[in-house]
Amino acid sequence: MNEALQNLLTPFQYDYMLRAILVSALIGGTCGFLSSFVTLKGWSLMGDALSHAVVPGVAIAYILGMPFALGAFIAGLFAAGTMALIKATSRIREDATIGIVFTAYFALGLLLISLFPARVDLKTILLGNILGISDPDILQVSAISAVTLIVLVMKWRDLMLFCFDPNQARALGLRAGLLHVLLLALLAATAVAALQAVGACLVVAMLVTPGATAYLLTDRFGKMLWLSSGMGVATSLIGAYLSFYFNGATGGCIVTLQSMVFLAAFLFAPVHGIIASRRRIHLSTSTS
Amino acid sequence: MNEFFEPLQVPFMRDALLVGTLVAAMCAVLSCFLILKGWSLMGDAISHAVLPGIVLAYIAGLPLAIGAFVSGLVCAIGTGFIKQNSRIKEDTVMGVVFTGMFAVGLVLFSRTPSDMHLDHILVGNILGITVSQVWQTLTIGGVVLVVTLALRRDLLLICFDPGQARVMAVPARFLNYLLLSLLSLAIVVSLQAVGIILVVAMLVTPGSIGHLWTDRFDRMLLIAVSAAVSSTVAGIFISYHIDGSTGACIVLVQALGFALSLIFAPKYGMIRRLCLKVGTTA
Repeated sequence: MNEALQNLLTPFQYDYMLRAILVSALIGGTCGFLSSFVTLKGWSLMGDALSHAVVPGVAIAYILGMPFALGAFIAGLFAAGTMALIKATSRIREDATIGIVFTAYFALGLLLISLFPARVDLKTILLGNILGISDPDILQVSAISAVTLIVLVMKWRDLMLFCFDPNQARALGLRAGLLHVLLLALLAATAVAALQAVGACLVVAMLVTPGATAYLLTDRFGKMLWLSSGMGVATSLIGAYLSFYFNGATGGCIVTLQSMVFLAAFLFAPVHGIIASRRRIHLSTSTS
Repeated sequence: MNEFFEPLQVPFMRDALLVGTLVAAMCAVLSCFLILKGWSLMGDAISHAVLPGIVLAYIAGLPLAIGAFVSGLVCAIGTGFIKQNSRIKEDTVMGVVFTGMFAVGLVLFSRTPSDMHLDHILVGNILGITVSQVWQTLTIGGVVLVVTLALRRDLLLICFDPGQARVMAVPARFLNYLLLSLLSLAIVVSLQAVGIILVVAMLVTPGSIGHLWTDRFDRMLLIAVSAAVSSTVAGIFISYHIDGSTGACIVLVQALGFALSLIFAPKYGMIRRLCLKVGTTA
């Protein structure tokens, strides 16, 4: 018994594990907060696209020895600009545009990495490496998360209105264009932070799954924000801890947990879950 | 010039060119249907979702392609099921499902001792393709290509006009599932060439190039296939000479082709559109 407890506490004896757990929780909370807006606005694919499109920026920044966050952020905004340009000037549908642009950016990043293999590690970018995160990177991730959280806390009402009903927002005198760019910039910034924790392939989960889960559990947006950020923090904490036993697959553990919570909500949510709605249909047919 | 064609004398480069050409043609044909149906991101989702299937098949000692195929179908069907039974938007559901499956794949992989390289699955390794993989690719790829081309009229109908398809008593449901299965098979085959992350480029970009050049579907197919095949061949040659990632070079050449079409295409290009605008205002 004592030995089992000892085993469970082993991860906490390592400095790098403690740091990884705390940093993951911070990133998870920030992404969770933002994910409510992303799911509401229907920007899931934008999150996926941006997380892949920042890769060339990260690669160039590492090759030149600059802060990775800067390169990534610029690449993300460039990608968003390219998508907007193609959408405005051609007959290609939006989803196809997103697919073309993010794969092209990602391919560019991949090419750079393959040309300078010593400077950047491909696996770190694709799958994240929060257990081996360096101090400067922790600083960047914390700064990004702090700024994002502050902006979100200050502007969440405006952003909510913009996500629900842009026309109404415009009628109330909010500047919809500005809010659009703001949300996009926040998305790019959090994608960069999440890249460190879970890697390019799984960033989109951090930006979508908590929001989608919370959406199944409540109809009130304020509550949804709490639920999604709480879920982001909890799953990231536990996932980072568990990854000690899973060969360092931190991203895999965090996102697997998130998907399990989503699945549970999909089945058992009190009003919008599949069991509750089936029972409602059953009741209404048996009474009538 | 001889130096440029030097790769042709290396056996693994010849294999790569052969496989690359077939994969490009197959994906290009499918991409024409996908972009008309608005399924561009289905390719993205399925390609990530095959990972757990690959790992499980490896553990069970089955051919990896079977695991990948089943897993891809589970993703497509699971997405449909969750969307029908909840109030969440389709693109969100897709994001949740495919990342969940990918994550499970990673966790399984982390506990499985194997000589598989995750990098090769993620970004492809066409230069390291083995003889048996060449045969597998040629067989499955050939089947997908032939079936898609043979049924192109029916598939086109369900992509363009599902209502009309129902009126004409085309088995739309069956064809939808068929298209999904073909897509999954195509992804399984392409993984070796370009990897999970870049498959979606092969499944979206060629069709979009064709869409910019013409309104006729048969021509679109022809343009998409030629664009995809030529960029694949060019990409493989370039990657040999600059010693860079092959999948990345293929996708970048294709993206360049798209950018050029975007600007210069005769009817829907930017220049033509600008001329039209100037013509109407003058």
